[in-house]
Amino acid sequence: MDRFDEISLQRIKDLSELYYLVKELILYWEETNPEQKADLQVINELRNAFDHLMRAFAAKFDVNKHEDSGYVAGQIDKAFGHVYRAGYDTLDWIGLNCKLYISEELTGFSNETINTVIPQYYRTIKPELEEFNETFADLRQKKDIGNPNLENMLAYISAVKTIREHQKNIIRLKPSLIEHETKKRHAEKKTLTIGFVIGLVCVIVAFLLGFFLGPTSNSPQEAKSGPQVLQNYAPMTLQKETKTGSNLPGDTLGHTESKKQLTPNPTTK
Amino acid sequence: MTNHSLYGLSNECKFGIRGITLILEEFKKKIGRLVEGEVWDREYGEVSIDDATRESAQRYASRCRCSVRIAKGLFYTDHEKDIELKRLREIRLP
Repeated sequence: MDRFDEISLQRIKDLSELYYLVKELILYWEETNPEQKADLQVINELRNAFDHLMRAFAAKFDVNKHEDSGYVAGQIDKAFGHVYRAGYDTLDWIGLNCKLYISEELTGFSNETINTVIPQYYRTIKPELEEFNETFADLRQKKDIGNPNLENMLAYISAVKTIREHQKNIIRLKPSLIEHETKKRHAEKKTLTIGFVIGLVCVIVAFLLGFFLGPTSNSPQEAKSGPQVLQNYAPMTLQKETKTGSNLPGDTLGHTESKKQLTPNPTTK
Repeated sequence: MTNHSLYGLSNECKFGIRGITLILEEFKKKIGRLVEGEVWDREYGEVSIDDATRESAQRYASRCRCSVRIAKGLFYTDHEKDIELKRLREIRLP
């Protein structure tokens, strides 16, 4: 049996490290998934990775003879790609679930409360989370996982861990959020009550002023029919086909002129 | 130790990697092949997961060893996965 060459050994080492990271992600996802469901496509990726790894071993141990010197390294690379894909799919799930969790925790709180209690939410947490999810949405849309390498995976995992910390912070600050929101609602209710009372007082004062300082009538007829000023402003009605002219003094021709005009309501005089 | 004679193979070549390779070759010749083509170079088929898969997994769970989640049918079908991912993507943060 020949030993693995240096390149293949390095790739196997990378694969082992990646697998360790991805396994941690899958375990975390299984623990935190709200529906407690498994994603069989992730398991399928690991199955395919194992297949490529076994092809590499088979070639190395001459179970499956290959003349191509790069065959072993190529198979290890393919296994790496499948493990990477499993990790990437799991990261996508974790990121989206973090978003769901944070969204549910903050539902019902006003933007002002969130900004006061968690000042970094609108500055860092939300933009980071949106950016993370957009990155994964873009990659998914392109059906491309980019360049599968350990550095990318470490960067994604680091982002997930930061989001997880934010999530923990939000849970820790939830009592403060509730307290602030309650105080804010009490203050709003108080302001509303004070406004209503002031408005009511104004109406009462205006009514009393009108009652005591308003115009007084001396004649009994005026008092009965109302002030003269009001009579002049009797409601105007639109009269159709009013015959005018013949009723007017000095209209000797007696012709009628049909026109529409606004006249004071005669009943009010 | 496996008794290779049970499978109609010689019991002489059972030690070491080379020995196992010989067994495999002998097996291929005597027993024959189940699938066409070179097994090593063939990919596994695409896995399609639907409600029928869930039903089968639950029905045959007692006959084979598998994870508890799969035995209980706690996995996403392809359709459910698409719907759930879409729902999660549409969630807006406050």
